[in-house]
Amino acid sequence: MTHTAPFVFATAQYESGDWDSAPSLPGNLIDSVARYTSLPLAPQGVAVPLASDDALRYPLLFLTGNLPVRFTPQEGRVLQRYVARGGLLFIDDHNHDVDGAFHKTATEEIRRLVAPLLPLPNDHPLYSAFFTFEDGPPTTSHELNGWGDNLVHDQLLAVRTQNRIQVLYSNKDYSSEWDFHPDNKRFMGVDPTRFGVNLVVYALTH
Amino acid sequence: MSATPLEATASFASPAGVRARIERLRMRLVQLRTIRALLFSLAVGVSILFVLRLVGRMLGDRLVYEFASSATVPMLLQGSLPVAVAAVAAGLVWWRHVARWDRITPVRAALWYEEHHPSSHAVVTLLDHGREALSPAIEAQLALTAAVPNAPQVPASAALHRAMWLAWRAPLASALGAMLALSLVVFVPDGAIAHVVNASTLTTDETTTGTPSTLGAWDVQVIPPAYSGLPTRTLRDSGTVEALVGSRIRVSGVGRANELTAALTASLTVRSDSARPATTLAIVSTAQGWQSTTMMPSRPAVVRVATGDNSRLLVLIPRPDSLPLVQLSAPLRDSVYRDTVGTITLTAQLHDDLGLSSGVFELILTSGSGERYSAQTITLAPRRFSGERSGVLTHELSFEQLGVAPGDVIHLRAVARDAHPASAREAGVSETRSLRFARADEYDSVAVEAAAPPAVDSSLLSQRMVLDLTEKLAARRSRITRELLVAESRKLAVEQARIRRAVSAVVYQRLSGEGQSEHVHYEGDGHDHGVTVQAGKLVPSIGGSTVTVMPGATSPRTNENATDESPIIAVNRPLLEAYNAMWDAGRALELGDPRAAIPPMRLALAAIQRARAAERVYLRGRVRAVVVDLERVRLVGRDTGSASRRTPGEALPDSARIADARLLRAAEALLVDPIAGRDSLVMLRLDAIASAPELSRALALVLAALTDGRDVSDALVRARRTLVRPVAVQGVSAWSVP
Repeated sequence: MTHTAPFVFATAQYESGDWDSAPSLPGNLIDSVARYTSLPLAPQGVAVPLASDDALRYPLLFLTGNLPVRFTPQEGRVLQRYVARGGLLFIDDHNHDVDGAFHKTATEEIRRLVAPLLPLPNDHPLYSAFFTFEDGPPTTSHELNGWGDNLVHDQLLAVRTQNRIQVLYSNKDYSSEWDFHPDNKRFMGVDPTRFGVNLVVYALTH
Repeated sequence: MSATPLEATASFASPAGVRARIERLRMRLVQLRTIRALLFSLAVGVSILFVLRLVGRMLGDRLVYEFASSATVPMLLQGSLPVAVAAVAAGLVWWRHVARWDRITPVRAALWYEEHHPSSHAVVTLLDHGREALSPAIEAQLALTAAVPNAPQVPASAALHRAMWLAWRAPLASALGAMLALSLVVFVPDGAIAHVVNASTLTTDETTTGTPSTLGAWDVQVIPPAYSGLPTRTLRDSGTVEALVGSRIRVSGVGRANELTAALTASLTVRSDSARPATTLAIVSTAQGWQSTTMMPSRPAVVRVATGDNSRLLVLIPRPDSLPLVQLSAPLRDSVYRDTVGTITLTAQLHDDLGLSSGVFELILTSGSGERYSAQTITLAPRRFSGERSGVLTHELSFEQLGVAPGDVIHLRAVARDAHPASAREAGVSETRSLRFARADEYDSVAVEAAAPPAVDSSLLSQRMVLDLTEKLAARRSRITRELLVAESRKLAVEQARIRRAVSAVVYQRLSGEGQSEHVHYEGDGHDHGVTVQAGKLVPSIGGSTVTVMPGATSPRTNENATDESPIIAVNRPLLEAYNAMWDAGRALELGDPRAAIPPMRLALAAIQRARAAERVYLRGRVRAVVVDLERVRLVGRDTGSASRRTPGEALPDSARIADARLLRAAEALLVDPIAGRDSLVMLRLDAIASAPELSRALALVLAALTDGRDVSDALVRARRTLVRPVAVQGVSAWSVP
């Protein structure tokens, strides 16, 4: 019998901006992964400095914020190594402005350090990695309410290699949608964090 | 030399006559020495000029050289710079001769005369005294003795001529030889030198590698993009060209165009040894023969020109146009401002490898909080450049004019563009500085007062400096005496102790509010600061027990589970590590062992860095810890999904092993088909340029040896060793004498 290290949900901590703008999200996603899968899990997430090689220990890195993102040279180097060595960086625009400060700077930084972000097809294996999402990324209530950029985004953006996603970028504000205490799920008809399970499963299997 | 200064005449017998003659001799000797120095200077100057011109012509003609020097070195070596260098060298030689001269006095001239006419032994005596010192009778007697009426006629003239010949012949011959060589370099047409220098090479190529005579030598003209401002250059019969991406590469030679084909093949990786896509290049007829033109691609590539079964390769090594480097020197750090009024100076240094086009400060002003943010991008102080490689941007930023309000954040950076005309060309940017304006309700926060560097930062600088000095001392340890080593090491120990006390002051102030440092507290003394002193080191105490701080322990920010200690201890833990490492370093320095002090000093520096990062994070607030009760929620979800199991991917083939196999095949091919073997080596080198630069450099030496017709065995072995390192084994080898 082989021992499997538990999955640890990691939030990327960067020098500029507000990396900790969705503090309840990690616990909520951990809760969801535990609810729907038998994956071994750490009960608590970690915040890992993007400038540290510790970031390379986690298969999925979550990065969010409202403010402009400018990675330091060391953060840039670690990020490049992270995606080159098989990591999946999931960036969510907590500000969900289509040309807002976060979107503009984060996409620019990813283009500078990795490659340009391109639309991810809605039939990508990510959307069937655990739950099946026929129409691509699930819409968030924040989109439907017309906050932020007043748009419902049809697709996520991604930097891909032939067989995996290196960087996944969302304008859909999952940071707001998923930022609540997991106990509140009992009041919800549909768990909005199910797509987060797909993210974790995809990151662990690709 | 028609006038001989020392011909024996009647007047020579008088003292005045002797003095006059010796004075003329002295003048002759001064002339002799001056002309000798001039000839030496001329020989050195012309020789240097010859060497510089020759190197410049050879670089311009054929050499494979680094790009950085390709545009400048030949130009420098063919312009007026060599003349200036030669003139300076000649001047130095002249100065060195003149500086070493002793003045030729009449007595020294007389000595020279007596040395060549031993019988005229009274000349020095006569000149070495003033007229008043000797009586006229004695002077007359000395003059007669000096004259030596019976001496052979014109001996001095012959001696002088002989001395001239001996003094002048060597520098004269050197100067004439150098002038002759220089005239060859200056007046021989372009390309002739390359052919002379490469005569053996060309012969060798044709005999050993079978360069097809139908192709012959070619010229490669490199025309850089117009925006770069670089000059066009021509390489004679080169096999490699390194140039700016987008340069036009024009290959031309003698022969019929309709018998030739040309194709451009891009490099792959050393893993790839299969067929690769090739783009056919057009070959056109010219008055001199044929010509084919392509653009320097962004990846290494090779141009293959073929006729029948024969072909030649031209390796294209692209040199990218680097983005401008931008350094924001003011403001130097992120800051928090109490007021929204005032002016700060912005300064940025810009550099580019080819030339700057423009520069500007760019800032994003973010206002709002929570879900409501607004951001506007503002550019300041735009400046145009006309191709300078360096420049400075400055601007006085007025907060009032910007209209900032409390709570706003400015993200500031400098942006520079070069002259590259592509619309998608990115700009060079500096690091971003964040300037935040405090809200009224956070005036009591420590985060507001961030203008002055905190104590931790100044400790960091000093620790780095002491580490530098210790490394330098360790490096020169073998060259200084033990006493000096110990003395200097102890000075550093004093500095290290000072920094350690500064760190301990920070720790104690944070733990207890006391500013004193290193006042000793021990376990159970009833005065708990959260740390105790054990064997000189600080150890955190938790609930009456102590926890050992190990250097290099994981930072508390990344180890959320290690929460058995108070937050204040957690934040200070890196500083405690730094303190303890400094203790070890100081002890080694006190013992006069700087090498042993370096590892703990590095640990201390790293720990201070972590403390600095932890503090920044701490001031922003901690993420609320949500600990999920996994047992309670495991598989209670109402929805079900399905995940396929992960299939392990196949391991990638070892690139070194594949490259080694390609190298061995190429080496074997050299024995049976030299052209194919050489082409295989060229292609392997092409593929290795980016992915295996060490192999690429070693293969360049193999190809150079092939071109020169030398034995390539040694070069091949060295190339293979870049891929397959020899394994060192312990013990006596099988064939050694036990």
